[in-house]
Amino acid sequence: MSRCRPTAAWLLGCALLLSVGCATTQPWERESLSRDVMRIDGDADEEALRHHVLSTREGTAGSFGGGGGGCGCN
Amino acid sequence: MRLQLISRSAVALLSVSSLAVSSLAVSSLAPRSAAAQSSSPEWRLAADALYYTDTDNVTAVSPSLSVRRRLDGGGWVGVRGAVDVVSAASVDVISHATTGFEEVRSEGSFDLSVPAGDVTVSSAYRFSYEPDYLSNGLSLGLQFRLGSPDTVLSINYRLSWDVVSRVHTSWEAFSEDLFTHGAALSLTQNLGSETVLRLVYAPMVQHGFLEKPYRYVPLFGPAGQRLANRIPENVPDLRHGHALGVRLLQYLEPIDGSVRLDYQFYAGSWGVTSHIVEVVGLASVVDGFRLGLRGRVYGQTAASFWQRTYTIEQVGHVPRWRSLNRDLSPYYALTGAARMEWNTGEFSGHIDGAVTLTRFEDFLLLDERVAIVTQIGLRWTP
Repeated sequence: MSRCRPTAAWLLGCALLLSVGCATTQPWERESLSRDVMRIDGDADEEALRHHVLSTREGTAGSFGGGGGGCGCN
Repeated sequence: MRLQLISRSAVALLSVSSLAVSSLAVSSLAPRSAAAQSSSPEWRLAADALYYTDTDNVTAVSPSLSVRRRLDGGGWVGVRGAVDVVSAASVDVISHATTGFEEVRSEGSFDLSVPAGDVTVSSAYRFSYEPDYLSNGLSLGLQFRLGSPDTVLSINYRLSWDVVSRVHTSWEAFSEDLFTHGAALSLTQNLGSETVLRLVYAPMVQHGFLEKPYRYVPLFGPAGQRLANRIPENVPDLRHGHALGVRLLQYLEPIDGSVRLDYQFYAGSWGVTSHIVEVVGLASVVDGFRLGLRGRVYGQTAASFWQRTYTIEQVGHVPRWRSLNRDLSPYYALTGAARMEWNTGEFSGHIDGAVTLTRFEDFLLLDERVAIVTQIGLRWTP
């Protein structure tokens, strides 16, 4: 991995951390966030099967779980 | 478990993926809003099936069934069972003096998610059995808000203990251990009322038997002639890697749908680096009925010791590290998919179809593979 990649990763991480608290949505503003199409994790059982295929067909796939959040209600 | 020949190594490496799924089995069921919480179903029954076929003569059918129940006071408990029925006559298999095989893998898992104050604690255990491969997986997760409901931090850890053997060989005569440690640290942030951003960092470490007992590497002489003997695959006993992922989800009001953009970068100690880009779009056609499209690009570089052919320059001087594992070679894959979802109250479901073209740029036995994956799922939430 070249030197610029970890640097970029740290910058991205810092940018996200700085964004914490910048956006506060009120309960009445979460209608869109609570819709099914806004589920950031997808369906667990469907993802389990899909990841099983990906894990045997792509050498290094998959880190997007880690889960929860998004709807602002956890 | 001659399935190992097909590409089992990736399964172990991808502990993060499995970790994510096991922990999400409960987290994705978490209440979505105060209103939704009061109407959240007590039970959830899910039946899924996946059919895979490719031009490398591999076919797999994978049905699964899961049941989950909401606990008093919040949280979920669930069990899941899955079976893989695989028939394979791929180049990996037939290059090892066999015409092919059929094999069955069985898997069972249990997961539990319990809220404790502002923290949700989740755990899962998984057991997988094949005639020549056992796998135990345990995962633990914590999920909590950072200040406001708009910011959620999640920490997961997973340990996998696999025992590798051979068919027609007793476990006492040959069995090797493989341990995988995976973690995932994710931060999910609402960026306004229609946008969600997630950042994930996932380190992983593997140690133990990382070879495949069925995989023998062909050797070539200085003049390029193929030698009669093959030698067992041999790779380092330690491998670690780091994955960094970003996910952006945007609501699209005109179509009552969403678009999701994923990017993941991976770098590991064996020299493999990879990039993944995925775009998913969903649109509501009529009430309770949605259509979706998905595109995915995967590309990776080779391991530092990867060679298309391993050459013997002097008698007795074989390369220390050698492999015939295509997942250590440079390749890319392009996927296009379409899906349909419906929801009629207690019953919902989806059908998903995908085509993947994989181009191996430096693999001796195969240049290209086209795969078709069909997935169907039904949900009942009485």
